[in-house]
Amino acid sequence: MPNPTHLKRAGQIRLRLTLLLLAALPLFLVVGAVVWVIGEQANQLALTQIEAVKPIVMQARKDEIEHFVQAGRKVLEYFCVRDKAHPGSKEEGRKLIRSMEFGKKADDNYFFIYTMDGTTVMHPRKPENEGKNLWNLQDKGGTFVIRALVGQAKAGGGFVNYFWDRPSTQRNEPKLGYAEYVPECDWMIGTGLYMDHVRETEDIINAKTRLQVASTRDKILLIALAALLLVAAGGLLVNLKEQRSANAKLRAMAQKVVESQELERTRVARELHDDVSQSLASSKYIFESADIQLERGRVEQAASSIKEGITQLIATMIDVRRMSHDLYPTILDDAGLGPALEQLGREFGERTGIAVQVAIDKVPYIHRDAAKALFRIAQQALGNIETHAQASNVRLALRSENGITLKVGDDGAGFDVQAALAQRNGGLGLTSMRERIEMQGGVLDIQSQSGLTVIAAHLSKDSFTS
Amino acid sequence: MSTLHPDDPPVDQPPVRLLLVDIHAQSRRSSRLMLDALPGLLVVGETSALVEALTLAASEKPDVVLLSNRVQGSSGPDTARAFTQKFPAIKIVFLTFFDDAEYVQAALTAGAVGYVLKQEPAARVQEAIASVMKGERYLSPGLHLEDKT
Repeated sequence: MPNPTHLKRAGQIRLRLTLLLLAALPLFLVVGAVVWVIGEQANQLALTQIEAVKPIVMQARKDEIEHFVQAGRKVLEYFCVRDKAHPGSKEEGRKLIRSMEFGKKADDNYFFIYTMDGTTVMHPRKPENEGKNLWNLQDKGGTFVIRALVGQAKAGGGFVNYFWDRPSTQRNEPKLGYAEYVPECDWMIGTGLYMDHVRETEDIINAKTRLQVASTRDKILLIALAALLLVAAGGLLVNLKEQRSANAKLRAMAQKVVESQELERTRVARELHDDVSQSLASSKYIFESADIQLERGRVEQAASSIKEGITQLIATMIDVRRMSHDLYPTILDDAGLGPALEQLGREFGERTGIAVQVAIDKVPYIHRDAAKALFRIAQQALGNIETHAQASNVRLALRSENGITLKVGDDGAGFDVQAALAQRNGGLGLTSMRERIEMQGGVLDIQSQSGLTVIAAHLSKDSFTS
Repeated sequence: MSTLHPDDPPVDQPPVRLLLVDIHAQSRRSSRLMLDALPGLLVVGETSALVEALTLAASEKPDVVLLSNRVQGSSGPDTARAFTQKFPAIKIVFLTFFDDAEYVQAALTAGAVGYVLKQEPAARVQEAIASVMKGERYLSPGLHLEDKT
């Protein structure tokens, strides 16, 4: 069964968790936003990078194929010139060019040779075309591919955009071709690059960007995690500190309890010694006087002494009874709070001569600790009135509206409530009164001015029945 | 004194004059009752306060001051000191129920020559007064003190 302390603790834990989440949530939001912004910016950067790099890459590739074609042209030139002295050299040159591949994707990077009227002299990837005239070959965009290449070759070398079957993918893809005329052979030699190959460079840049974004994100998340751990550790530290201070408060309270117990014992010891022993010693002397007087035959004096001794003993008995009531009001257990307060008021009136009006409502069941707290408060308040107030009227009331309220009022001198509460030793016992009622879940209200002081201790209904 | 008692001192001997100093009225009253009952003693004055005690001492010329540990405006030992300074001839006897050694020591140091416990029989008071009047020191047998003086 959960007791109130457990519930309270669970509530505190929930509260702490909420606080931690409140601290962590903004952190997560900020981190998320930062990661998103960085990702966006990295993508933008990649795009601009690609835009900037694209022409450079393109130009580099163009230069590359131009240079390759130039190299191929030189090779053919050599063999065609040599063919005049050594027939068969031209065929050798054709074969050599066929075997020349370059680049990473060698399948896609090859030379082709056509006659100037469009017959395929050599095509390493389409040998079936060799000997065929492709002058009228059109790609899917309507370009007469061979015608355009021959045209560019005749013009001193140039580029042509067209579609061609890409060997590595077996797809008809856009291609940039370059061709030059080899007058020594009366052939045109060319090569080309598939544009998708260029696009793949973009993909590489994109992939690298993504990698960088991911790495940055991971770093940020790591830092965020460290920050979160720091926040949690801070929270824990505050928690520990709080607990330590709570423990210190508890210890101080325990110390106070011990001190007040000691104080109470000292008071009782002093009262026993000073009042009771004194009274008993006095009684003893009075009876001894009677004894002496009897011995000397002074019977009347002795009788009067004995009467005086009895009076003295009765006074002592009353003293002892009062002390015992002060120490623990047994009537509280025997008859309940109402009768206990009635007795307290009556005895106070008898002892001090102050007029006491007691008004007790019929009170519902109230548990022992709460009853004791209210009784002690009444006792302390009356004690204060007796010692300090110089009052002539006292009103002691127990009201049962909205819970239970104990009121002790007097028409005495009054006091400065704030000053009394601020006193280090808890002046007039007000602090201990307040602690008593607060320990029962109630509140203490003190109003004081010259001629009217009311001390009210209130317990709500649920605080005294459970 | 209506009838004579065998214990009574000779009639020709004057009674010992006593001054009773005690803060508690009740205590003074019972002591007075007891002292009045004892023969050969005469209470010439009683008071709760030091100042009045000194005035009474000057006017009533007591032989012995019976002093309690609590005196208004002073303490037992301080009162004893004031008396030994002003009236060195007056014997100081403490009549009290404080039986702690510290109290006894303080009283003796302050110049008291007798220390009587109220817990003990009234006859001790008579014994004490007789002893100090002879110039002897008197301590209640119930004190069980090591004599430190």
